[in-house]
Amino acid sequence: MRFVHLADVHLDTPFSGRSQPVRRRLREASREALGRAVDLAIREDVHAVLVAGDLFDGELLSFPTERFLLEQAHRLGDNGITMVYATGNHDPGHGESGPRRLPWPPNVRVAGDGTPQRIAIPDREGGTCGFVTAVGHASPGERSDLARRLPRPAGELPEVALLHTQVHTSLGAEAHHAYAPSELTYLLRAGYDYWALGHVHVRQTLAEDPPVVYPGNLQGRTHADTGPRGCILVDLSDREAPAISFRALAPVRWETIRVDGLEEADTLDRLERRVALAWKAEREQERAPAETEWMVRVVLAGPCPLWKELRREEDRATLASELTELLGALDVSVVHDAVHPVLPVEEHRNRPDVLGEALRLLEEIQKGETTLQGMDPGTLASLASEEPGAVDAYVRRLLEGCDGELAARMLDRDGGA
Amino acid sequence: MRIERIRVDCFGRLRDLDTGPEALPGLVVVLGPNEAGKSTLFHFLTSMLYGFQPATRERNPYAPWDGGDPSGAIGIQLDGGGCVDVERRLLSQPSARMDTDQGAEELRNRALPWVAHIPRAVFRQLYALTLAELAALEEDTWGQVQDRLIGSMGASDLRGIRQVVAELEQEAGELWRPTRRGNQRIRDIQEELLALRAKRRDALHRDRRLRDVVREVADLRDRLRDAREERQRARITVHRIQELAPVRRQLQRIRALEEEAGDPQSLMGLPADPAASVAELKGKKRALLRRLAELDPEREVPAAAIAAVGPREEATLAAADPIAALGAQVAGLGSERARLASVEQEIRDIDRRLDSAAARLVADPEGDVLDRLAAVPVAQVRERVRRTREATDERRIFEAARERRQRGRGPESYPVFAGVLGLLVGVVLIVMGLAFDSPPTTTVGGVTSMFGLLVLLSRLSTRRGGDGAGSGGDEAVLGRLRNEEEQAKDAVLALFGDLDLPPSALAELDGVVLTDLERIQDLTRDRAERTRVAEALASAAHQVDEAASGLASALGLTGELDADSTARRLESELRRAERLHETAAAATRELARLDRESLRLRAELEEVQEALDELRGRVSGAGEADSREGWDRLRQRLEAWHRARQLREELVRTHPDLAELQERIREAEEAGESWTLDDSSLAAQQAREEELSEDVERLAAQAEALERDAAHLREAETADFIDGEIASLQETEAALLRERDRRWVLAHLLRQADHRFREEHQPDLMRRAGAHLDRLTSGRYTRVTVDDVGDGSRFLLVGPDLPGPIPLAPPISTGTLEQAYLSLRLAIVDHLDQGMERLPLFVDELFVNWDERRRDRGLDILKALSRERQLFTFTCHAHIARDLESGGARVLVLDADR
Repeated sequence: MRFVHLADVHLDTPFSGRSQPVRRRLREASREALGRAVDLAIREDVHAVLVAGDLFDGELLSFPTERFLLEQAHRLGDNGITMVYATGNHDPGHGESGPRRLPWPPNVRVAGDGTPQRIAIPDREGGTCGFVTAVGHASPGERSDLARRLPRPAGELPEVALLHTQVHTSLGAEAHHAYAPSELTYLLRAGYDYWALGHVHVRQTLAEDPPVVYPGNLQGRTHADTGPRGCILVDLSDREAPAISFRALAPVRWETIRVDGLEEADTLDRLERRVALAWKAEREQERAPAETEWMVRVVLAGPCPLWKELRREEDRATLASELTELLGALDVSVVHDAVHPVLPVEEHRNRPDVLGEALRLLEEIQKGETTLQGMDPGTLASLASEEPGAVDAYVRRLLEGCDGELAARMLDRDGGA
Repeated sequence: MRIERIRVDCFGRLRDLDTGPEALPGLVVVLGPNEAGKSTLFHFLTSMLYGFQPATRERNPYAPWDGGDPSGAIGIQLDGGGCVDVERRLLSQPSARMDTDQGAEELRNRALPWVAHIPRAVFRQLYALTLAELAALEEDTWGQVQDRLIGSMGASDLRGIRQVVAELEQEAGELWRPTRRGNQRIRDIQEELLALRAKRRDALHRDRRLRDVVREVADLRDRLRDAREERQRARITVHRIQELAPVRRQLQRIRALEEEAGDPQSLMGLPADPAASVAELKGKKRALLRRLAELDPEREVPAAAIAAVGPREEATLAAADPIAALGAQVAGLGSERARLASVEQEIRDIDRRLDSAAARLVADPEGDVLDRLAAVPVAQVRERVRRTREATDERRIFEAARERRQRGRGPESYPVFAGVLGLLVGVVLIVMGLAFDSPPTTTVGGVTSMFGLLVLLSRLSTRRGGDGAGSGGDEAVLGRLRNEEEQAKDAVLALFGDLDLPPSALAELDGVVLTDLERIQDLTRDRAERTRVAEALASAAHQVDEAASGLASALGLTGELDADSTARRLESELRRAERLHETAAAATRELARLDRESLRLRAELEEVQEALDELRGRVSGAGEADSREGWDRLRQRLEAWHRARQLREELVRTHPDLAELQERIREAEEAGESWTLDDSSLAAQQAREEELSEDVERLAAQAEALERDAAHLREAETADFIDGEIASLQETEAALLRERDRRWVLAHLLRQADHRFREEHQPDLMRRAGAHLDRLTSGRYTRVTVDDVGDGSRFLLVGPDLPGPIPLAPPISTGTLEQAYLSLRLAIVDHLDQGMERLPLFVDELFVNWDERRRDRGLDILKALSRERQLFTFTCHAHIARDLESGGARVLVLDADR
């Protein structure tokens, strides 16, 4: 049995970005990636396409996307390919909306009620080339271990398990809610030839025998989703030696570069050149197809003469816009939190004056040795909770890396913002 | 600490400055004009205490340009006891060594441990009091001064804390404030978010509407499809009744006719009316036979014409060319006869002229004289006559010459002496040339003697000739010439042979004889030519006559006839024979035509017979008897067959889609559809069809409109897209909120730091400042306090004579303000190093602008202070130095050119 394993397509996920065209392109990119996956399945003449949950982002699926999704399902059907779709926490099977109400073509099998379905995958001669046992999330907050509901397989043909789960030990699991949590040790002894998983967006093979695989999301959605994104092409013709290969499909890649050593960057041009050099070095380390579109996050760090300009929203927007053109990217965002003035802060910390006092106070607050007295939580605009501990923690987060700015403002080194 | 010894090796403009072994006291006066190096000395001491800064020679401003290395040493007495010697040098890297009671230590560029409690920047700013600071008091507000004194402990590089806090709070407020007052970026974003959420609701509504529209479109499409199908059925019924039924009837009629006609193969090729065709063939056969019978009588006339051409006519026709030639010869015979007569006349004229010419040459021109004259060779005669003339001319010339000689002789042509002289000169030159071995001279001599010899020989020859022709010579010559003349004449006469030429002719051999002889010979040739022509003409006439006679005889003409008559008769015979021959040729063609017609008629007859036989055979083959009834039945069958074909062709022409129609008829027949409908049912069907057409149009228009709506709705922004925009804006909002809170918290932190700093330092500072002010003002003001009621930003002065605290601000006098400022600065210094090593204080021209009373008190204060803290006083005024020296100070003099 040959199949394509993909997950976390998140169709219609809202993309935040600098401009409408960028958001529109990102939205199209998710569809384009899915289209490419279907192209791949047809080109590789696979028997099945397995979707391990979160095919779309929420209960709301826009009508055009719905049409697109059904078109792709029909394309698979026209080529004799079965699509098995186990729902995830973003697209649970129950409810008025969601996958169940879509007029799926007959080649699509949806597992969306928490009950395992064992689906025979037909081959081209009208026989069966393998089985996929799928279990999907019925509700958005599935907390039970769905893997344990799967029956123990038996037979001569390849058996594949398909579900949306968070394996405790998976890389990047902490970034996701622990929906349908499962244990790797259980998966390994469950008797399946391949575990086709979804939910964790970092591509990883948790085990080799049998393969327990997260393909990662099909198209990156945020700057957390760096690296190439795509699907897994699996050939289980030889159950003892499955052939597994990753195929990059995402037209848009998200990457983050950290740029420091900005002490000499006292003009916008110099700063841009420094970033461009860092980006070039980064790209030389890893070659990507020329047609790749890039969503780049530039994290500026360390002392920089332009720290004050970088604090200004409009200046950062200008920098991001010019970097977008300079790097040939789809979009560039600039993170400036770690930038501070070019000042020997440590030398000022011991001053016997109010600056030294302020720097010492800031340090004490950061270390938790003291708190900011008399701070009325009501005067804070973005305080999530007014619990005393929450206020102190919030203040500590706010004051991270502020000593340079504090010194600069007190010393009048372009301190005014 | 007290700096007891200073040794500057090289530092900026200072060179080799050494305070010597005597320890410096607590009060040191550095006296020197401006630019003498007082400031440099301060930086030298700072470098000795804290290390070099910048720490590279290239960047350090005190590295001398002449290439020396900044270096020097100081000796220090510590407050806690003990001495320290420090020596520093700035090469490419700084180096330093410190010697204490405990031993030596490498410092590299580290600060001394006893100054670590005061940062270098603070030391540089606070431990150097300058006149400029007091002057600035008039420019700054006292609020700022107080901030600097209290918050900054006098440091000049810090901004006022309240200013910084106000900026931060303003920036935070521009982003967000708890109240809605003023422009707030975040609240603008929140407004945008509200609008976007409304847009999102609209988008969701549009999505629902789009789905409804698509469902409606699908429903409409279903209804449209049903209506179209029903309309199609109605159309088919109406079509079947209106269009298919006539076709079907026609096809049925064709099929009936085809059945009546029977096997079409047997009818193919038969005429429409076989009986009429047989009758026609029979009639044609009879006509052919009749015509054949008429042909034999028509052959007689041409046969007779052919027979009329016999052997004689054939011979005449065969001799057509000779007859024609004879005619032509006879026609030319007349002119030749006339020419013969003319030639004969010319011969007679020539004979007459010959006789005349001969008579001039010959005395008796009878007999064959003319022939003999004609035979005389004219060319030889002409040559010998020419010789005769030359002999005569020679003779005449000689006779003329002899006559001239007889009239006298001419002078000598060449002088003999010239020849003799030339010969002599030449011989002399040859001898000289040989004697002097000069070839040119010899050559010239040779040439000259040859010339002389030739002249002599020439003269000798001439003399000998003249002597010969002299006397008897001329006669002899003349005789010889006459003899030669006679011989020439005889030679001429010899050519005429025995012809007797008359004397006149002999006298004019050159004229008459030669001319007439040539004439006689020319005429003789002309006569011979004309005689030959006359003979030829006569011969030709004779030949024509012979030919005419021969031809007449050959063609059987009898009787003596001349050539002309013979020719005319022969031509008449020829014309008759030709007419007969032409008539016979026409008769031959006519006979051939009659033969061809006969053949054609026989072939037609055969064809008619064959057609007749075949027709009878086809009738029999068609199953019909060769009878009247059989013929009629066959005609009817043929009519049916032709009618069926005609109807089918017509049907195909009017219905190009006949095959499709037949198929539909077949399908309808197989489906058992009705082929009959009454008019009312048909009208109802037609009405239904029209009604359904209207429905279809209406539904199609509705579907189209809805699809346009759907397309429009599809183009609109979807909720997820607006979600993205919302998320993006929320990210911005969150970032700005965080930024706002960060600035707000920073402001709060600064306030708290300021408060904490004041709480910690202010009381001690105020106590110390009060003590200094008490001394400086001689007890007029005894304390400095801070106004705790307000924001702590106001200093107050307290004095025994004052009713209460007064603000340290105008209208209080400038002098008092400066005293208060100095008190606070001194207090700050005392406060900063209390309990630690007290660092030296540097005072630069501080009291120069004070009145004498104040300056004395100031100097007293300095003297008193110097007992607790070493003071370096910089001044360019010698009297101040002297005053302080009298108080125990050590004076260091810096020269301007040091």
